[in-house]
Amino acid sequence: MKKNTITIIIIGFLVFLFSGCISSTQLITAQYVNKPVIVGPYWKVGGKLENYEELKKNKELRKFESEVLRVIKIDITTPPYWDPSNIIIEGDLARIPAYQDSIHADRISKDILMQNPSDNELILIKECFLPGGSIITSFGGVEGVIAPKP
Amino acid sequence: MKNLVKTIILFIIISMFFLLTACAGARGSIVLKDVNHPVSMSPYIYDKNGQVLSINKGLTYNGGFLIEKTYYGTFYSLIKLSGDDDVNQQINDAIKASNSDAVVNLHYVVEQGGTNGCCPLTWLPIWPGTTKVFIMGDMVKTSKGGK
Repeated sequence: MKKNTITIIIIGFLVFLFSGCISSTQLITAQYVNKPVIVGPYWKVGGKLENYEELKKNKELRKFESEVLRVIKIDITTPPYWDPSNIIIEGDLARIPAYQDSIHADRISKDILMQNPSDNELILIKECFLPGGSIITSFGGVEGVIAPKP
Repeated sequence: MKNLVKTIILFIIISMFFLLTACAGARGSIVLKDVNHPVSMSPYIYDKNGQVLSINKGLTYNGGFLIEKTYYGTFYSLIKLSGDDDVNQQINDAIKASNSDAVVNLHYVVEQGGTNGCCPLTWLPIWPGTTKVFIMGDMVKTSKGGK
C-alpha cells in the first residue's frame, strides 16, 4: 500500500474513533414565548382538552416543528472559559467536539412566535423530541400545533 | 489508477463507519399525556377563566423539580426503547407534594449517554444508544390575583 493510503486509513480511524463522541449538551426551552406553551392535555388550571388527541392529529391546524440548531461554543482551552471573548457563535448545523462545552441557544421560541398565535388560539406541543443519531436528527426540539381555544 | 480506486473505496468504507458510529443515540420524546395539571414550556399559564398568568402576576412560585432520566434506543436510534410514563408520574407526584396548580418554564437539557462513545461496538445495530435527559420546571399556585 502506498503512503497516502496508509495516511487516509489512520486519519479515517481517528475520525471514526472519536465520531461517537461528537455531541453537545442541548437546552430545549420555549422561555421567550409570551403566551402559555401547553404540554399535555390540560390547557388551563382545572381545564382539560377533551379533544386533545384529535387536535394533535388534526391536519387542518397550523403546525410547527423546531429544533435547536444555533450553537454557542465555548472554547475551554483558553481560560477564563466563560469570558464572552471565548464564546463563538456558530452557524446552523454546527457540531461541537467533545472537548468543548457548549449550550444551544433557544430558537424554538422564535419559531413558535413566527406562527403569530392570536389570543383566541392555543400553542399546543404534540411532543418534545430528543436528539437521536444522525439518521433521525442530531438535535432536540418540539413539534406542535396552533389550535383554537375551547 | 488502481491505487486511486483502492483509496476511494477505503475512504467510502471509513465514511460509512463514521456515519454508523455517529448514529448511536436514543430516539425518544416527552409528551406528558398523563399529567393531571397544566404544564407550560413558557413562563405563562391560563387560569380557570382563561386569563394569562405568570409568576408574581397571579402565580406564586412553589419550588422547582428536576427529573433525571436515561432514554434508550437501538438499531442506530431508529427504535425507541423508552417512554415517558414515569416522567408523567413524577411530575404529578411533585405537583401533589407541593400543593401546586400548574408547572411553568418546563425545559429539558439533553446529553449523550456513555454507550454512544463505545467504538467499535456502536457499529452493531443492536448496541443500545443512550440519551441522558434532565427535565426541569417551576411549580406554581394561583395566588389571590388569579382565580
